Amino acid sequence: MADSALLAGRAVVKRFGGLVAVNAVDFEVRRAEIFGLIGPNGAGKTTLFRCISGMYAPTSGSIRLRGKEIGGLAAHVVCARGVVTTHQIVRPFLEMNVRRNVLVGVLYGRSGLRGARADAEVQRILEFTELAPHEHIAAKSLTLARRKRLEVARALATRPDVLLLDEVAAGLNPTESARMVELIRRIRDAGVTIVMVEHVMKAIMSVSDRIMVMDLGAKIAEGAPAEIAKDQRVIKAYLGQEAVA
Amino acid sequence: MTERLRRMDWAHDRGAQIVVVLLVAVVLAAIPTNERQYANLIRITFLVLWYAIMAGAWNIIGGYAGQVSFGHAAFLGTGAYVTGTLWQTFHIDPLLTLPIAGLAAALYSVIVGAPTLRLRGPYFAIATIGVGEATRLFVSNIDDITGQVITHGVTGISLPNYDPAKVHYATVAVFVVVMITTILIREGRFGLGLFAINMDRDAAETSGVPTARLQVLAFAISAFFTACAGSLYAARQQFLDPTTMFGFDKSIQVVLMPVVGGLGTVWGPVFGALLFGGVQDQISSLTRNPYLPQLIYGLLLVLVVLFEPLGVAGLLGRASSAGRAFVRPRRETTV
Repeated sequence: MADSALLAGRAVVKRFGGLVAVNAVDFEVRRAEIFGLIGPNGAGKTTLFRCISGMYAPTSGSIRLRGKEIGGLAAHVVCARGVVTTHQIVRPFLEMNVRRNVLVGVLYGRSGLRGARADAEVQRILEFTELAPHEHIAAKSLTLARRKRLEVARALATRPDVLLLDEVAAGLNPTESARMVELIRRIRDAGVTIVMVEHVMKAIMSVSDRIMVMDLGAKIAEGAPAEIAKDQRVIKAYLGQEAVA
Repeated sequence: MTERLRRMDWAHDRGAQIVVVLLVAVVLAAIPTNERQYANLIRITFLVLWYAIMAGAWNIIGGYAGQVSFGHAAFLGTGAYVTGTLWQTFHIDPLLTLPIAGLAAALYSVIVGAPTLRLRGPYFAIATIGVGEATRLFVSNIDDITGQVITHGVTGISLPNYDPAKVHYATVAVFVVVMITTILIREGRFGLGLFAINMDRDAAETSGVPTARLQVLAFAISAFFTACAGSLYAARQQFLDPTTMFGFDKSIQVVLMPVVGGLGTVWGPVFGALLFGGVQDQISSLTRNPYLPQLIYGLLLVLVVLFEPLGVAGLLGRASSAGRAFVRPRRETTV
């Protein structure tokens, strides 16, 4: 089974001193699916993301991409292997304009393009993410919704196989959120596998093929969105013991 | 049409800036070196170019990558002492030792930089202060430690006489190389990566930028050219002592010039060097007060930090669109 999964984690543990932020989590992400990751605050979702993207080294366990270990590699190496992450708190290069932000991803990602062909690739990504009209605006002057799009665009520019999206719909109004969901679908349709953490339930329930639920560092449920919504352990984690009883 | 122009402006600008550098170099190289009435001009030119080389070199790591080094005197002194030693002991022409001096300092910078460049926030700057001072103390005391005469300690090394004309041409040449290097880095992929690190190291790393490697490389290039400035000093002044060459005041000056001139811009360090070299020379010949230049630099620094973070380059950018196109001070239009 591990070989059929594009991205697979086995008993992933991340410990900060005495705190176990991620506790022996197993997961499997299949090619070209949208895999949702939900859980209450402090469940360990972002920490797990950071272990996958190389920002943290897991304390133990393995994370494999196409059967090859990527756990503990530096983030830029993980990016070169084809797994790239966006940041929960958007982190564009504020003083650069939109075009240059995306250019960083093109020049340092897996496209290998240089010069005019890199420029053309930037243009393609800007159009795909609907940021082309804002290409000369400095990232610091963008609205939150566009910054989030830019975050996705820059990650996409590295030509990932797996795109990790950390709360890209958080803080957006319903219209912006719906547009983001539409963008995520188009990215998946282009062949990129997506793993996303999200608190906006409407967004994640509608877009995910499968969902994994974490609570207090551990995986408590996994399955299709409809099953997850009925799962007693999930309801308990979100709403408390009384809601179940 | 405008889109095409915009796409082209990288290469176009790069070429234009290099042409300006070469024109400046031709003018400077045309100053007669063997006539007495030009001796003073040659002296001031050396001072300004020497500063510009150091400031431009520092700007690669401090301005582009945003890692503020307060220890560049370590590389300046390393270059000067490598050249001084090779010249005095092995009788190698000092100008031929420039690449060796540069490589020695680059190697030193890699050893020092590989662990310290990982540090975030102000800690790299603090670490470099330690490196600079430790290097100075080491060179000052190495004779006592080893019991052999290597650097003559704080008394310094007196070197043979050398042709000032040769030093002049070499200085112009090194200046050209530094300027072209900083232009090419800034307008290319390497520079884009450095500015990405400068703005957000984690975001750069997750976008595929090998941040550690790029920073160490930028630091090494910076150290290389700073050491070349040290070698040129040795050839021109013919006297080296640790307090001057490894002095903390040198490290500070190297930081202040790009900051006052325009941090992270190609021409900022040159403007800073003109101010430092030119103003220092004029003021000290007028008043003979050694503290007045420092007072003026302090005032300039306060004004820059308060009103124009991109220094002289920023002021020129504000003044005219032609100035802006040339100096390209604003980061969002340039990087």
